[in-house]
Amino acid sequence: MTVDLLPPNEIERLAAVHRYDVLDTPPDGAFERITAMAARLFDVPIAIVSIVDTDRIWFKSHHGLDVTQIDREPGLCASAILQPEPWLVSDAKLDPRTLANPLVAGEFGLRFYAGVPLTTHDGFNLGTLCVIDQQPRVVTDVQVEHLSDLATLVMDELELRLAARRTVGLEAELRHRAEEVAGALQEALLPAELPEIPGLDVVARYHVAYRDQVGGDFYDLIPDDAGGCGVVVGDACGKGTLAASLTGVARWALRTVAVDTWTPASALTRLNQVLVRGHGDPERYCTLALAALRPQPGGGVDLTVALAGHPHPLVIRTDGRVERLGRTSPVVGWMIDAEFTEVPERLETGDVLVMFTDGMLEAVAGHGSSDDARLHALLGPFAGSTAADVAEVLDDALGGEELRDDAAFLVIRST
Amino acid sequence: MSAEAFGGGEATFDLRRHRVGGSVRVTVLGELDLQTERALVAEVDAALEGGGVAQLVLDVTGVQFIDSSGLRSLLMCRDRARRDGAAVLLAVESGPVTALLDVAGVGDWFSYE
Repeated sequence: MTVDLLPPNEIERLAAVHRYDVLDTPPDGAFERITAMAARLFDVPIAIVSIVDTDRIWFKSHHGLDVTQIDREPGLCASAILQPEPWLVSDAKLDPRTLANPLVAGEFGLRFYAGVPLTTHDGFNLGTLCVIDQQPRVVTDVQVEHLSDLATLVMDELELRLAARRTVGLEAELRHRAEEVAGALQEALLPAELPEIPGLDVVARYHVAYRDQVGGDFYDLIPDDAGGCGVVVGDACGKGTLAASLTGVARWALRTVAVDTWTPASALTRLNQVLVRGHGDPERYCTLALAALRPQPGGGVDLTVALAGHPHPLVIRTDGRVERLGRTSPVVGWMIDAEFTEVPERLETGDVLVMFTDGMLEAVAGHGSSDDARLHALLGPFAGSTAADVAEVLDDALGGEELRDDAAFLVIRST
Repeated sequence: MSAEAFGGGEATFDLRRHRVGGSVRVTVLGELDLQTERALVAEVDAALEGGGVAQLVLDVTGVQFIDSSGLRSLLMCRDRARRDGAAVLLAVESGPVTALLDVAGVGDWFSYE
């Protein structure tokens, strides 16, 4: 390749070539159709879409020719990209611009060449659309005009592919970022690790339905000064950052009220006031199941349960019965004068308490179901199991189908 | 995201509004969830906009699915109508809506037709 073959903007031009990311890509129907059409228009055997690379000319489409690339030699495509006008050679054997080109001087015996540069919207010539024959030819202005139109079509196709690739890349990037943000938020909304409470064997899980969307589910375990703890699972209505912010407010507000002489009903009353008065989006509510657990010296656990618009926690008794705990009270965060009731309950040694969000019911009983009969049936056979074993059963239930809604659960066994 | 993205097949949702004098009836059909809740609230807002509404009936007998966002929209409609001085009645039959109202403990926040 000689130096005078390089356009003055060669570095930028090569950057443009690489931007379209077309070199060494597989054949493509759109370009095949254009070269076939060009060959027909000129009544010649060969038509090519060429891209001029650093030291080669690569063919995106090569109608009527079994070659995929040639060296960047002067006279044909390599020269055609140096000017904006069509590059026309009626008889290459006689033309001083081309007679030394290997395709002309060599066995192939090229005589006729007409090429139009493929010009990007920002003015770089990537290569050409050219027609070739082994006979000398004269072309009309109209034919050259047609060739220019077809070259514009080639460029449109290249632009289209570039735009499509960018969109796909952008989408992947956006999704990746959303997943990162959702993951970070979710971690901030859940305890890093659960504290150990003597007398209790606790396992907690959070299953995410859509990794790019932060859900409104949460759980927490808050040790109190009396050797027991508060446990909560909750669900803010909706999804996304507003649901997440409500979740965060609810979880931390509970942490400030679940100390000293707290009871679940009084904690819900306070939480409700905080949310109704204080949350940035007043038209949003939260459901939760809250229990105060007090492991007893003689074995077993005394507990008090309050529900704010939340599915009943279940207990798997050691004899295989599954019972609902608590009594329904309204959701928190909507009505300032909502009243909350709490119910005393008891876990004997070996009983397993399961608290969960409605995503669990949906996963077990089907889309839109708030019926817990199937969950009863699922849990019954696991009487006397460890918390980890019961958690595994629930994990399996949530992992089976594609999850529609986030689901959180806590499994607590009285040891 | 479309309802199809959840794999739920054909998702249906429709709203109808009838007004007779000072009484407005908004009928909800299909799935009332994160995708459709805004449409319901907007419909009720539009119904209340002209004023003179003494009674709003939310007819949810044709709702086949409702989630927490759907419940939120019913509560929003109730609050907005009451703020405008309209009495709110829920027309409902035993099904997904009553099940969710029961679990959420807000059944007695509504009056029934």
